[in-house]
Amino acid sequence: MQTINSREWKRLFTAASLFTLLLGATGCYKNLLPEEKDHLSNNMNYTTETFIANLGKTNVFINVFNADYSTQPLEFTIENVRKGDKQPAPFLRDLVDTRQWKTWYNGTEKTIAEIEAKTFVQKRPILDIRPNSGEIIFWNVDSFKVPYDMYYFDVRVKNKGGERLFTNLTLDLRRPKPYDPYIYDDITGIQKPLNSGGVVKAHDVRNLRDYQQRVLTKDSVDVYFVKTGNAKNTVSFRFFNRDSTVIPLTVFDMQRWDSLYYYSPMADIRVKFGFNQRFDRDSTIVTYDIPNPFPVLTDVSGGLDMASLYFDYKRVNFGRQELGFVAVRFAILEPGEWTVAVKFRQTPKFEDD
Amino acid sequence: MRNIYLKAMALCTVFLLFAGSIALAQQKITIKGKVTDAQSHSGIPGVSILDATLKKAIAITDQNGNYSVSIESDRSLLFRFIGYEDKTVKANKAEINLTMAPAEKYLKESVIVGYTTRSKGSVTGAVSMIDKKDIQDVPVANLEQLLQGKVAGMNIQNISGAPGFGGSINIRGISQLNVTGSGDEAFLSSSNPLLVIDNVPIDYDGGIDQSMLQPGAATGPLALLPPEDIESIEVFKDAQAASLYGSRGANGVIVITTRRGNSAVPIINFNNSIFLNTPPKLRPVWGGNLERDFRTFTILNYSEYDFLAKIQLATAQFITDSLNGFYNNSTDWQGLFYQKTINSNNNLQISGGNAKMNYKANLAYQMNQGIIKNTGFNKYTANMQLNLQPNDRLRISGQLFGALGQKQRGNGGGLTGNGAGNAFSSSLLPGPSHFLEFPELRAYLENVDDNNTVNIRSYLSVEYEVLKGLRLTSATSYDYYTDTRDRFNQAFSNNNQTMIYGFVSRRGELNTRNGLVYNFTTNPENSEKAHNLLVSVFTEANIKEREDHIRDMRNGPSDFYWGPRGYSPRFYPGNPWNNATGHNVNGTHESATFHALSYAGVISYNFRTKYNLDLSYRADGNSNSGTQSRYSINPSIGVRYNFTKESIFQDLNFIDYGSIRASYGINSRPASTRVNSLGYYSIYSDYNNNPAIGPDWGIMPNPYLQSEKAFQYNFGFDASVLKGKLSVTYDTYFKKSYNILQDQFLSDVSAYNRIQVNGGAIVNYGHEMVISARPFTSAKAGGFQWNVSVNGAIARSVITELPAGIQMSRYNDGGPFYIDLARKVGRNPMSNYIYQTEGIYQYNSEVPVDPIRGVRYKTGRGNGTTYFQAGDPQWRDVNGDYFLDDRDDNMISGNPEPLIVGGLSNTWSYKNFSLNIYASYLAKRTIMNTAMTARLMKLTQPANIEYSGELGGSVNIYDLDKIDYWKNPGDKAKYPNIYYVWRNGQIQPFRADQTLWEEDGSYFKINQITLGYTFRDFAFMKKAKLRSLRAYATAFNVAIFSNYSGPNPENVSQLGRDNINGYPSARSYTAGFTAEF
Repeated sequence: MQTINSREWKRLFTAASLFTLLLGATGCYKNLLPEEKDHLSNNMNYTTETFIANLGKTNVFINVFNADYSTQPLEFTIENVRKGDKQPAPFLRDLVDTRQWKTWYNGTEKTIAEIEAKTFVQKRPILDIRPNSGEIIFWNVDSFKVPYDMYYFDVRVKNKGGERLFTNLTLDLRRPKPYDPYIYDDITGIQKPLNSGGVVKAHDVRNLRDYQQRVLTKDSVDVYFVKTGNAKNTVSFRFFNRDSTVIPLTVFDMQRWDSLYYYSPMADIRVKFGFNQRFDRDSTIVTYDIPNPFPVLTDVSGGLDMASLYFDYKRVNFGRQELGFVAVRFAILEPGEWTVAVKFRQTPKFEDD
Repeated sequence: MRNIYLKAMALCTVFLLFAGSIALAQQKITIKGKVTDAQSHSGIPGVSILDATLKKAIAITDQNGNYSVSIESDRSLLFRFIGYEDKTVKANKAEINLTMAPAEKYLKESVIVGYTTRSKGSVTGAVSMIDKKDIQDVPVANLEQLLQGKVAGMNIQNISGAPGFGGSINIRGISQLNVTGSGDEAFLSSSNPLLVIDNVPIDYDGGIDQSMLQPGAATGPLALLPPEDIESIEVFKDAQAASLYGSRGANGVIVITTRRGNSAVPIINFNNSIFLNTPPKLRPVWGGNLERDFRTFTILNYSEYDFLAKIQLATAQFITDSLNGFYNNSTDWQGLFYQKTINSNNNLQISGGNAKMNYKANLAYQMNQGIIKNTGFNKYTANMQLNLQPNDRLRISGQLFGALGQKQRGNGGGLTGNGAGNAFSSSLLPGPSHFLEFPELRAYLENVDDNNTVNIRSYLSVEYEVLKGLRLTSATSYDYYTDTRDRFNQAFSNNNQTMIYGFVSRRGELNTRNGLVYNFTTNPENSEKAHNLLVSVFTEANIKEREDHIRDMRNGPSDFYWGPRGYSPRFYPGNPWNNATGHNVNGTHESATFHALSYAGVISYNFRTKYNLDLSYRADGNSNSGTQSRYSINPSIGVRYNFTKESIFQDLNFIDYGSIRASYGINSRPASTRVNSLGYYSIYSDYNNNPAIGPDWGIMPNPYLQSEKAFQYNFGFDASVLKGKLSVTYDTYFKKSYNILQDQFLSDVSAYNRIQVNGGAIVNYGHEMVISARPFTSAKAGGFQWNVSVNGAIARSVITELPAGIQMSRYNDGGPFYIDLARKVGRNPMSNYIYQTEGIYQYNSEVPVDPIRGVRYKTGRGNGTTYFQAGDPQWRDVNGDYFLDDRDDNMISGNPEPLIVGGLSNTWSYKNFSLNIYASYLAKRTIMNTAMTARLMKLTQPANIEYSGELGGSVNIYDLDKIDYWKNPGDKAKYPNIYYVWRNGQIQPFRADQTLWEEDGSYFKINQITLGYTFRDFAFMKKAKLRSLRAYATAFNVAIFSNYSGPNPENVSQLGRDNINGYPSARSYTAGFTAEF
């Protein structure tokens, strides 16, 4: 009897220990399961592979990477920056001073200093990338730093699930555009054909007539951008007749000089045009202090933000009073004193009939 | 060996004869008395009284338990009755009254496993049992409601309160990945278990695919089965237990056995009750001037421009024309849609017979009107059973079940979205009166949506013992359904066009099972000292047929002409009622036949009932599976060690039993369909004046598709001590479903869009525990008794594989909610893939600024101006590009599957009273409060009566003081500024795809409180020849405790999404009685 009992005890003990072992093993269920890994989609891609940038302004390329629901955060790094002949171009990764924003530009700033106070300066590589979203930025440098040319680079995208290299992204670096619309081709530096941007026309005109009562279209109004100095960032407007005689600003008798606004699509507000408006002594030139670039967000908006100015007047046209205007729309990227000269191909009539 | 038995038996007979001859010499006495139940103290009819020496029945008790026998004076009487412990009394008095105690069943209880009856002590799998006592005293529309919280590891949620509709059920977690539908009507593919009712396998859903929201009467088999007719319910959770049910058992099996006759005296049992359904507390609403002020204030202050505000006010006459009596109201619309209803439930059962022949007939009727007017469910069932055993070798059993379920869905809708939440209009509009009608309300009251399900199920089984221990079995069943759905929408409620819709479906399932069972034991006298062997082999053939027809007509001549009913232009291309993809939104005709053939075998061996081993094998083939892989194999193995049968435990009386179990098995589930394994042909435009017919390019056929499979390990432990004062069952499992069907999208050079492949895998693992205790047991009659039982299950699910080795796939949810889902390896199977809301911007200065571009964080890509400001939700910019965008700012969050579910039951009884409180609970589950989303979204159109967006429905204003929203700079609020008339279009602060709506759905619910009184020994009972009488009062669905801000954390879809149009769960109060003659 004793032996049977001890055998049973043994059996029980074995069963109990086996069971405890199995129960203990249930604590390890998690170890049987795969680790959660980051997802790196096969369909990730750069929707834009050629980045056309101009020297002399900040070039931002937004919305260029499709992560296709890969697990965030992704890490982006620029690699292997090179020229067309496969020679490395390390100068593109040199750090330069860049202007960045602390708080947003809202368009209601009273002075240029107030705008400047919203920005700060930071050292960034010339060819820059946003670390988690893959947006490409080419910071504002001049051709002393980087010659205009075609450059190539690769972008490595990483998360914990792996990495992928996007090769042969192209940076098409072109000549600076001091102002916009610019009449010179930014690849060749040659003036564009006259019928396709070789000369800047007025943005819009209304009820503009010459002395023969012919209606003048906006194509008959040429606009010239002339840089006259480097002392300050200003823009001035002058008007010239067909024979290059100066038109006094007094003809724009409906112009409300103290409340001229243009709409900024980026700030979603009507922004007051320039600062410190002043006329010269004989009222032929009006001058504004402007921030650079002007409008403030023109370069980072990819050219969306442009300033426009409407010069309003009224006259009696055969007994009927008409309101008319001449409008210019532009952006100025190169700092300095700029004069915008508006020249009519036909001498317009501002007097009443 | 056989010879020895024969000799032994002969010897015995001789001895008995001899004994009998001596007995003849004794003096006979007559003994009278009454046999009563030890617990209820009522007489037990039909108790066999045997001469203990002769083992010969000499009498039975009458219907009140009285008996009278004459017997030799020194002999003993043996009282025997099924379910009670035998009692032997010396025949030495003229009157012997005795009580019989219910048998302590423990491991002797029988369980039907794989269509074979076995003792519970030899079952190696995880089986839970529900007793008939646990499902009485409540008339419910669907039996499922009563099973909630009763089985550890079986998660039942009553996702809709509409009577007769099914809830969601799964055993041991979800094992599916496919989702159909969108928004709060998005449904996960069914993980429903197989149902076996009286040995007939039945589809749990009754052929309704939850994804097919429109057609079908949506009345499942459990809604048609009266709970009063149920004897026992067994739930098979692990692979070993379910393996013999073959390809349909992968999600577990629920085996329901209805009552049988077992009394020599016919028993007539009446159960009648009336019950009151009451709607839950309705939401407080702003009416009258409060509503008008809110609307006016919002329009004036939060429109984009003043002139737009003025246009809005000019067109919204119901707001501005406050002096007009027509618009000067404060109508409580909610009150007009809901109602209290009084209903009745009646069940009559006649049963009787003995082991040779017994019969049962059960008739049931229930009227269950819904709490939304014009909805309800009536059911009529008849269940008849006859068992014959003309001799020891032959057993014949036949059954006929017939049921009619009539469901009124009122204004129609899906499975959950059939409530009225979208129809509550502005309180400024006048309510219905003698002169006025209101289309939304009339639609609910007068539109017809009648759904009838007729079910006839017949069953015949024959068992013949060819040789000793070897039985031939044959069982055939035919289960037939007719589903019809007839809708008629009145013209005024349907854009001035009548709608007539008809759906007819006929489904039949023929199932036949033929096999051999061999029982062998080395010691027939006492199985506890023998090698016992059970071998069973069988084949099962299954033929299913289905035929669906749909008619759908619009624009009939008038509300009084419900026709014509023939031709259905909706199914012909080019008509405007087809939806964009050319498929009919209301379902299509279907005609299908399905064949399946299975071979199965089981070997069950035990030594002295102590060591048990089960081996089983089943091969299933069906006509839907890929032509290259017709059969799927389901093997399983299980062991059980009843350690208390070791002799050292014989002296330890405080232990009743104890055992440990382990099992492993593979189950499969058919995954392929005719479409994904064979492809189909489509008709294309004409070529050479002939219609061109070619393969459909949508899905590439995959003839190599295999069944979805699951393997599962289960370890269990059962023990009971102190004569059942405390018993514990514990199970833990690890289940991996693999080969799960997934879409794999193909590159466009393949011409096909996608192919379905066996690619996904999910692991479910968890622990289940049941503790039952009887802290107070009284030996005295009518003493205080307390039974308590708690069960709970922790279940986790993880995706372990996705097709083609990918780590994540995304389910594009679509409008109106766009709550995408992510399936990611290493995570729970379903997660929301949405924006992270990290609060509300208190000040404008809190909005992040893009340092490069000098502008604020905004919605959408590119250079728009939809910048954030104070009062907007603070969505996390995950990739740091200062654009909020689906592609790179969505994050995985939430888990709609609960971590813990369980139940709790308490019964007190004292004298004639008994009180039962039964509760269920759920913990850790993510709910998307999309009802709140819809409510707040609708506030953005203050000038409208009807919301004009994708969401639809009426604009009504709930009590906004109850919502913590941003009002002024500096407010730390939960919800964004609600006054977003114009900005809603700009930044969509109330978009549903954000974590703002995610809430914890934990709850504790008191399902049932029942107070019962049993009438005993009353004079009127004797006069009325009543054998027993019991009266009870029940409150069902009593209360739910939760931190969830919506109305009910249970009335949400399986994906955890609430629905503003959901049908609320009613609370019901029942008074009833059970009488037995």
